[in-house]
Amino acid sequence: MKEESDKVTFGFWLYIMSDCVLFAALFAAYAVLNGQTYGGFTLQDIASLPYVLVETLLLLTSSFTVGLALLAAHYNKKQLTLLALAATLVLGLSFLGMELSEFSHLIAQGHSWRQSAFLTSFFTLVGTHGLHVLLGSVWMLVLTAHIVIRGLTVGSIRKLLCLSLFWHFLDIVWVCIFTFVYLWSAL
Amino acid sequence: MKFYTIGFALSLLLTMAAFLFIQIHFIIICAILQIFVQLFFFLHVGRKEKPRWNLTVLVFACIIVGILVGGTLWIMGNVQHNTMPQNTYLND
Repeated sequence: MKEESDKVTFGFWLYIMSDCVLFAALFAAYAVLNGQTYGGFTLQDIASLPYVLVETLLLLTSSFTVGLALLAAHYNKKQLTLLALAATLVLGLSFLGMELSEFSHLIAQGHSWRQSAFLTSFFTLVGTHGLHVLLGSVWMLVLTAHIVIRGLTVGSIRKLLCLSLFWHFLDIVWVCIFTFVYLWSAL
Repeated sequence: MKFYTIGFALSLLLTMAAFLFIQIHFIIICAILQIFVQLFFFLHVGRKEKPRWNLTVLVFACIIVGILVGGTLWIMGNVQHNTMPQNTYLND
């Protein structure tokens, strides 16, 4: 059973690495199209850094709490695991809410992805990350139901381990986004 | 628990530092440090017993990412260099 779990985790790790290559392609496209604003606004004109800092802190804290959930599961504490998972879910959804409100704000001001090549690459990169966070949240919801119904079985702990890997990976991608997209624009 | 807390504290510190001192070299160093912190403390890379297949795949992925991003910037930089400058924007 231990060996089986290791195989599944390694397979999932392989998936994460291929996802990493996907994000690298989007980052490369963003870097190339960074200056192609078509005479329109750059990110510096339209983004707010304190807002991004709050988003970053939300995602970072959720990365911490999902780690706590995994730890609690290893010590077979069901209530604590569920509590940490719920906290992660709330933080993840708040992050998503902030990002969507930022997007709708930009679009309402006329800075949609149709404006310039730069904005297309910006929305694609940040949006793809947001989509991953959304899918991770759905997965987390399903896993929470699974743990509530079936309890902390070997299978559910393995699923939780994969989910935590995925969630930490999204946090690392976000580190790159806030550095190379948001802070870079403020240089 | 202790391990995750240390990782969380270090990540917080690096994030705040990057947002306070926005300078090109500083934010790049902060990002790289933070990636290593999170890989080590959250993803437990390099803390497993041998053979370290996870680490092997990670290094391979990093090479691919390096070729992809570095190669793109190199080629597209040259393309831009060889293109005539166009200052006529079609703003309406």
